[in-house]
Amino acid sequence: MTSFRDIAYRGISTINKVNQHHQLPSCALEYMNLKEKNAVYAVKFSTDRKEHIDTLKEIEMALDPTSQLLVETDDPFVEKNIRQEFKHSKKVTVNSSMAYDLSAGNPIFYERSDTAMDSRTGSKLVYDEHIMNAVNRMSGKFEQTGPFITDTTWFQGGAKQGKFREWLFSKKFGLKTIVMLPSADFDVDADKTELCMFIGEKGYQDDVTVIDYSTKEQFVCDFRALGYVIKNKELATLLPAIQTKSKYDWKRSKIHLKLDPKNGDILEGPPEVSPVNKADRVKVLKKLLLNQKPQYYFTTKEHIKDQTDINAWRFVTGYNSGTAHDKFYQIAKGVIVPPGIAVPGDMWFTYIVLPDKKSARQHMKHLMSVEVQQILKLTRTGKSLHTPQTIWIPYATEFHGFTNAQKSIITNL
Amino acid sequence: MLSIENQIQSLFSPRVNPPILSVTSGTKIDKFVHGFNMTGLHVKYNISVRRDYKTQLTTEKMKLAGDPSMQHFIHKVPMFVDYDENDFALMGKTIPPSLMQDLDKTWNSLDYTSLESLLDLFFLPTSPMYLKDALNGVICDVINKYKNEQVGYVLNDYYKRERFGTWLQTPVESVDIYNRVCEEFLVDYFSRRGFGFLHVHSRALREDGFSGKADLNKYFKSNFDILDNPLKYPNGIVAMSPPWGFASRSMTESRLDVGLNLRNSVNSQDDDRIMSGGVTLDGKAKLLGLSINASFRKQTQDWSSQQTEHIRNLYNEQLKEDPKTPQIGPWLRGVNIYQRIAGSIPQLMSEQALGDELTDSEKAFRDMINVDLANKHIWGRTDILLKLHIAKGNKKVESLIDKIQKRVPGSKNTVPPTKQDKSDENKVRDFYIQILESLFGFLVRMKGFAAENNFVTVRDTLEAISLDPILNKSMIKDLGISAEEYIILLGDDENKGLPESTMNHLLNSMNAEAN
Repeated sequence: MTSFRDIAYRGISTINKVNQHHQLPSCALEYMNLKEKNAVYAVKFSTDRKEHIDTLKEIEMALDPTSQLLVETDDPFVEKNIRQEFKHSKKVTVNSSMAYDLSAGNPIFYERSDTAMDSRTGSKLVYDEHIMNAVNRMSGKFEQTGPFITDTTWFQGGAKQGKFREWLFSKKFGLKTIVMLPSADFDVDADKTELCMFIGEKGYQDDVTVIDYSTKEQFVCDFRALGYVIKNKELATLLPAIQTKSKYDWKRSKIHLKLDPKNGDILEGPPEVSPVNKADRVKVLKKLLLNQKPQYYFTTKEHIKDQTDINAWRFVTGYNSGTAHDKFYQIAKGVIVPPGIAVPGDMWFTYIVLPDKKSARQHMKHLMSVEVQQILKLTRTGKSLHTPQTIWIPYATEFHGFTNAQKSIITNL
Repeated sequence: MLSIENQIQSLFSPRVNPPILSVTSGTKIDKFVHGFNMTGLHVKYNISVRRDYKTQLTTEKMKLAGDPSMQHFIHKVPMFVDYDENDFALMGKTIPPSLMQDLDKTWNSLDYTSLESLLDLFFLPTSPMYLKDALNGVICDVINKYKNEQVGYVLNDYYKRERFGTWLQTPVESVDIYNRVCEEFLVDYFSRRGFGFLHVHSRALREDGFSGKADLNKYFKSNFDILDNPLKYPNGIVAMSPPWGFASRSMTESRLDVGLNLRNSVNSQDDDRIMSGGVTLDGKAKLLGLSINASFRKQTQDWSSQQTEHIRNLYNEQLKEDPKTPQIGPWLRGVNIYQRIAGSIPQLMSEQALGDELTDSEKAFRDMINVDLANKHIWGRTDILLKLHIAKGNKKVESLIDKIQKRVPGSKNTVPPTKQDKSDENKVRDFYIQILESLFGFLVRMKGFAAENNFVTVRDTLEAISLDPILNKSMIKDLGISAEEYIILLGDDENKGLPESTMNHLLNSMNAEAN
């Protein structure tokens, strides 16, 4: 049954999802020592659905009578909701400058600038800063840090998160445990976003334990040496073994192209012109189609504003996957482009530069192979193809191929 | 050593033992929990018990299983009555204009003609809302409700009530007016209707030597005993709430069965007066406290039209099942008609729950979607809709809005819908639901601010947000639009926008839950 109340609760989920506010689940309590006497527990909080606030109440009830709970939030509305809920509580303080002993929670991801026009622009990533500040403010009474909530991409790739990842692995945070959470229970697109809790211990520099909260299965791996965390036990063993020195470096030209979806006419970008002479004309890649020959058209040199890599052999694929929603991870369409052909970039195509046709064929076959698709399925986290999305894929020309044992592991994943 | 809960239980009377709220118990536990938490001394007290509601059936089974905490358990039956010209016509009367306007004014203006008409609605035996019939009807309903359960009610223990106590709640605040309306009109009126009338006269209190709050209970009980005279007052006793609060609070009495609220507002504390277990005036076992709120139909909340329509539909269903169903009247518009549908287990509902049911139903939702997909005001403000943080990309949204605008009646580009538009219609509907999700969803976020400032409407809350730069900025970040823009979407008298009354109701019910 659809009701206005359902609509409202779905709506606040949407608002949380759009703003990437992930709630602190009640299972976080299992990873917090709440029995310490005379302690102040600080929880960063960005959501206010009833069940989210119930988690705070559970923490409050689990605390030793001599301890306090400090709830910190950046959203003034969330602050007022929490204040209302805890107006009779003597143990809960909301947004205070008081010192605390342990910090945990779900701080906001992005701080939207005043000039932001919609949900996709003008946002500044602040999640890492919030957590670093929170941990730095801890009194030293506890060795433990967290648990905090984030999506798993922070541990799997992303240049922007690299510095923060290093900090998490360092003695300052001492990453010790990662708990993979069932995304379907959260305000996220469960098929695209995976959430995890991470817990540290100041000074800890040993192996990291990954726990699947749903199945309770866990494994230990030296992710500290690797610099990343892989959520799957088999992959955690396999991927480090197949790494190559070189990584795929996906590039995009600054040539902009926009086609009319109805008839394929060029709306923006280098115009299609009848070439006056061969010397002046430039072939432009127009469309990559699944299991069909790619489409090209001709323009003149004056319209190609970005000549970067135009004289190199390239393997080109779509910047956005363009395949079925549940197969976004696949590199399903691709073409080897010889020197001289312009490849529109921007939001259109992305490419890697290769020395010759032979190696281009080798890379294309490798990137579109079943094994690579399978690895991407478990490691790729975004629909647009950037370098971090393929950090686990071995570089074809430096790679000796998957062994039968490795193929068997990959097939069974 | 006893747990802290058990210590509390041993400390307080059975009514508050254990500290688990039942939907059918009174407000005393609420007050107890609130007061208990305010002290901050008993830090181990588990506040989650405030959220632990038990159904009537569960509580009843606990009682029958011998749970001592439930020995004083009685049912609370809230009921609301709205009346109109037709209801007075059924009694051969014409409704006085004053009763169509304002109950508070009627009482305080000492308009005895209007007051007599109003009281006749409940105390005249020929009235469709005669309280004795209402009480017996409700007792029947409660027992019917449990007839298939192992709870063992015997109808004759409770039914055929002849004499009962009524707690009359009025808006009279002045002691002078209270004394006048009692002496000049009510004593005589209730005597004519066969009821003893109990009022707390401050002068009489002093003359009898009562000087403080502690004596009031004794005073009240002794007066009740005096009026408890079946020969002189064959129908029972009516006690009128005095204008001084502490006196009113001393008047909880097992012999009171019916709480009758005849004022514009509702005071939840008064709900407790009829909730004491014990023996009734006519010596029957006490099964329930019946709480009635009454008002002229146009004065009720704006969801009353839906409510009336819904209840009339239920009545029609009942009529189909049983052609002998009596004519609809104020009694039938009371809550109890709701559980009298043939073939189903009777279900008692509170006014709040009924309001939720009616405004929160799929039908209400469907109606609103159908109406609002052609809402020129909402779809005319694409500049605002495009800013909302909803899941779809802007390009898709623009294209959808273009399609919607072509369908809005009266727009320049209106095109008749064709069969091929069916999938588009679904897309538009989904899109509209997404818009509603965002806008309704933000009610969850702003409810704390509304509660903090005692705002009961979405519009008042948004106006206050618009005056606060920090809140307004945060709202734009969360939702995508400002408070002013949200207000525009709400519409005004001329341009109907979002379902504002439903949103108000939802905002208030969410805050009521939180409290």
